[in-house]
Amino acid sequence: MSATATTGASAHRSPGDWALKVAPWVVLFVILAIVPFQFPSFRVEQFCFWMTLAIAACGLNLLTGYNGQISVGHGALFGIGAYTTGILITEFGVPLFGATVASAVLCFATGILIGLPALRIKGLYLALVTLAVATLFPLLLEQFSAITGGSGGLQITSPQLYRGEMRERPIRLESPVAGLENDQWKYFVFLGITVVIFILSRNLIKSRVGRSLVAVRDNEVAAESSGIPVSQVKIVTFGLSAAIAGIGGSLFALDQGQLYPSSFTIVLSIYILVAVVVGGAASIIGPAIGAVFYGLFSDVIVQQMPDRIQPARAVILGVLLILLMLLAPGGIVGGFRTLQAKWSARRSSALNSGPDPIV
Amino acid sequence: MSLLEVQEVGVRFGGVLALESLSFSLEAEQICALIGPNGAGKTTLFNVISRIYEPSQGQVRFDGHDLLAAPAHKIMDFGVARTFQNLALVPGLTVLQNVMIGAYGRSRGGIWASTLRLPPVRAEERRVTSRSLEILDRLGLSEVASRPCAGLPYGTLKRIEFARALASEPKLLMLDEPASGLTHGEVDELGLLIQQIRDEFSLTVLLVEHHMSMVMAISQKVVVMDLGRKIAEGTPAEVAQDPRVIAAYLGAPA
Ligand SMILES: Nc1ncnc2c1ncn2[C@@H]1O[C@H](COP(=O)(O)OP(=O)(O)OP(=O)(O)O)[C@@H](O)[C@H]1O
Ligand SMILES: [Mg+2]
Repeated sequence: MSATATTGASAHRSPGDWALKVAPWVVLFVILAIVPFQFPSFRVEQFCFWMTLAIAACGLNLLTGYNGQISVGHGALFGIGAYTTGILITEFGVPLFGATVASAVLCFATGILIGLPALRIKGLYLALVTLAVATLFPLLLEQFSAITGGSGGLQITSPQLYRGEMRERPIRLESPVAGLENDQWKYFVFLGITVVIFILSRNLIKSRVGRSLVAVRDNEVAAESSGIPVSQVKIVTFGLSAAIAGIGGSLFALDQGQLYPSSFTIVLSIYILVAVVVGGAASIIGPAIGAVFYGLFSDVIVQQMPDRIQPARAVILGVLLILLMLLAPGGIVGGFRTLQAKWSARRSSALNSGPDPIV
Repeated sequence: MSLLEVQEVGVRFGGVLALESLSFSLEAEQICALIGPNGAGKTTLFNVISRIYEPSQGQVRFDGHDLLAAPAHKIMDFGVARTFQNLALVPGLTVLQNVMIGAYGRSRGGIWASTLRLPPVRAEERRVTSRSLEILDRLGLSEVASRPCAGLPYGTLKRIEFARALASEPKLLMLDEPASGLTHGEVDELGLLIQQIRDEFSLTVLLVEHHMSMVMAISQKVVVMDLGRKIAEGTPAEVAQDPRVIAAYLGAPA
């Protein structure tokens, strides 16, 4: 009895399956490591921007993908993170790390506040509330222009040693490594933070807490009667998701050096949601892949298109999204998993291990 | 003292009285069957005990606790677990993970410790995994442990719920029609299994079941309901001869 008991879960996994699992990661990391040396500086800057969005999408994925609460307002949370960081650094001289932590904490609190009505309302109604938050946010930024700089923008500066004296200068990450340009250094710093956040969220998802998120998403009654405090799980997930989006926003502030309300409209919120859905909701890496694909589309492919069809890019994106959802309803990762399952089923039709639904 | 005491519980849905002043009690380590025609209010009573429905009157006491004063997610803490008539599994999780959900309240690991995968969290995860696998094994479900629930036969799904309930280390196990969808042979086997599990885990069982052969074979006490009221109570032999019970089952006025 105990022999089956200890091995049951992962008994039928052959070395071939293992290689199939690990190989994509190795390839991915090699690509990520050489990318900043293969592209011009402005592209590397764009990659940094994509990473901040990937982080926000990772946060949204916990909420929407794993916990089943739809938010169309994560752009606003991203913005709160960005402005908190900008204001703390510029006005109060808070060091970068402290500003990022403070942004995460403030976004956590904001997320809890938005999450409270989510206890009573669900689905589309919740989406509407978050939509309202997303719509109001840029207006609020303009309203409180005394601290946010309004539509004139917020220049993020910090006291820096310049020509022998301390001056307020635009913030930037100086590369401490001889062979690395500033933008390449920033790329690796952002990459490190992004990878850590994704690993931590993977840990969470694979834990008792992660299972409770999925249980609440799929069956509240079952969750509740198994001892899961459903309301608490929903609220805390909202807070946590918001905090992660806030960290993304904080890095965005550092990335851009200046913030404008027009960067944080509803479009940004939709962008983050699209990244989650395209990549594959309820897969851990999905949001990162989605963010890259969306970035590729809007920052690369669209720029290559002839001017005549530029105005139609929203339509083109929409059609592409519909096609993707028809072909792979589980997003890119979902489609990949289906192929992988088919492939390993062909090799060993005897054993049915199936995809691990919580990965 | 009785383990479970249901006192004059009433539940109303609009004009329908789903339960009308229902009272009965349950002794520790008994198997008690709750029977009655469709719509008698059996599932409604389960839902009252697990705090899904708010009764308009009455009291439910379990092992010294006032259940109606506790929120739904605390009921399991007191030692009450249940299965659902129409299944309430988590399709996004594997069979094993579904059973581990049952152990949620009997295990530890908060957000931060889980995020950092601290050693205590890993040890706890191993403990819960092997315990859940043992339960799956005991119920003959090892084969499907790593499968998603989707696509498994109905009887298997019911049994996964049984396993999930056991994972919460309950004192009282409430089974809502565990034998539905089973063949005759399987029903007898399940009856035997319920008795064995009751002995192994020192459980008290409240069983809702339409298969009379199983009810008569394994229960020490039978409570018969009709239209929200208790119409008879006693040993299987006693209720089988009760004219009101016979009338309720034949549909004639009592
Ligand atoms: N959520 C609800 N809303 C309205 N009426 C309900 C609800 N739940 C149960 N009822 C009604 O309460 C009565 C008792 O239903 P219940 O499900 O408890 O019966 P049951 O004894 O479990 O029947 P069955 O053997 O068919 O499962 C029925 O008339 C049913 O229609
Ligand atoms: Mg019922």
